[in-house]
Amino acid sequence: MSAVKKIRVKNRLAAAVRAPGGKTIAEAVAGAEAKLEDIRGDCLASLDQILASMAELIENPDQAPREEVAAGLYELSNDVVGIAGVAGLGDMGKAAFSFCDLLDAFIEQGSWNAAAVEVHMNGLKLLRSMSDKIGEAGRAQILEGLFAVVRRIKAGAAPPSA
Amino acid sequence: MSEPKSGPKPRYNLETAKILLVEPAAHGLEILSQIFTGFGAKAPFRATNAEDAKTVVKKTDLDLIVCESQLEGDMDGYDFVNWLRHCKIEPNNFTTVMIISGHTQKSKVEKARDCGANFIVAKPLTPKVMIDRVIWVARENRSFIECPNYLGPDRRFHSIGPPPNTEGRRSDDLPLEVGEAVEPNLSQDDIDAMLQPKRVTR
Repeated sequence: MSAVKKIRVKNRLAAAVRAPGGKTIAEAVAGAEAKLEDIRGDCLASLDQILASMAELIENPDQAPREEVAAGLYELSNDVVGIAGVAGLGDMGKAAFSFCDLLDAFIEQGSWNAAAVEVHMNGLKLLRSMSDKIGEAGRAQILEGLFAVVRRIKAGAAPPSA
Repeated sequence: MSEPKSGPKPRYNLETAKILLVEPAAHGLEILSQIFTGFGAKAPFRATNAEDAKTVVKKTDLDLIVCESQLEGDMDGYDFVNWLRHCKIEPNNFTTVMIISGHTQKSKVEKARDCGANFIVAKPLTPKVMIDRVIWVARENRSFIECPNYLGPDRRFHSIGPPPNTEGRRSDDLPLEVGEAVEPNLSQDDIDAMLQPKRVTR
């Protein structure tokens, strides 16, 4: 049996937030939302840059080993997860999360499926450029399609053609 | 976390809190920074990798560190938190740490669990979720646990004893087997007397 030592520690953050003044939760949330609104345009521009970088990686697969392409795409897709919500494109963030799930499975399995990658890229582009036009039901349909592809890949089955 | 419906609403002051934000992507760091300045924090420290974050840790007593799980370079966010917990730079080695993470690779789930962070917050970050988590970690009073393979906040959130089918490693872990009674059982009258207090008449 290994020894376990318990250490009582002072929560410095607790002392800081108790100082007089400050904001209510509602005021803090409103303050942060206003600040995020200021950078919404920058976030949309960043998303476009990331999508372009992802497309470049996929279109030039011979430039790097497939594992590096998967790792690079995973990193970029994870960036989309972090930004899309702030840019008002929550469903695009979910699609990017699904893409991360897919790429993680490829990395784990040492496999690759070009059709599954293409379906995800097309989904991301659609959710970026036509999010309002396709409506909530359309977005949900796209997401369900992407989730189904990942389920099939994880189960070891081939996805439907792109 | 909701505010009380009546009475004055509690206020939380991050103006003087020393906060370090660690995020490799420029847009990600900007998002974090905007959220915390919107909460009232004054000029949080910013770092884009573990080396820069270490430099801040060595120079400033911090109240909160918010760190992305994926960092560029030799150390990812989990490695950085693990370094922090073992660095012996007080009080920063006990500072509250929130890890933020988009997708977590399957291979890193255990690392995330064992790195010693107080909380892991999933992206996308929203102001509501972040302020709730900040208040939650500000209110918690968990002890730190130090053992050969872990140093960080106690991961047992509830007093439910050691994990199933283990004896428990802590001195205050009680045995799972209930021992034999050492005194006679209470009579029903004794129990009633305890549970049904009678009015005292003078």
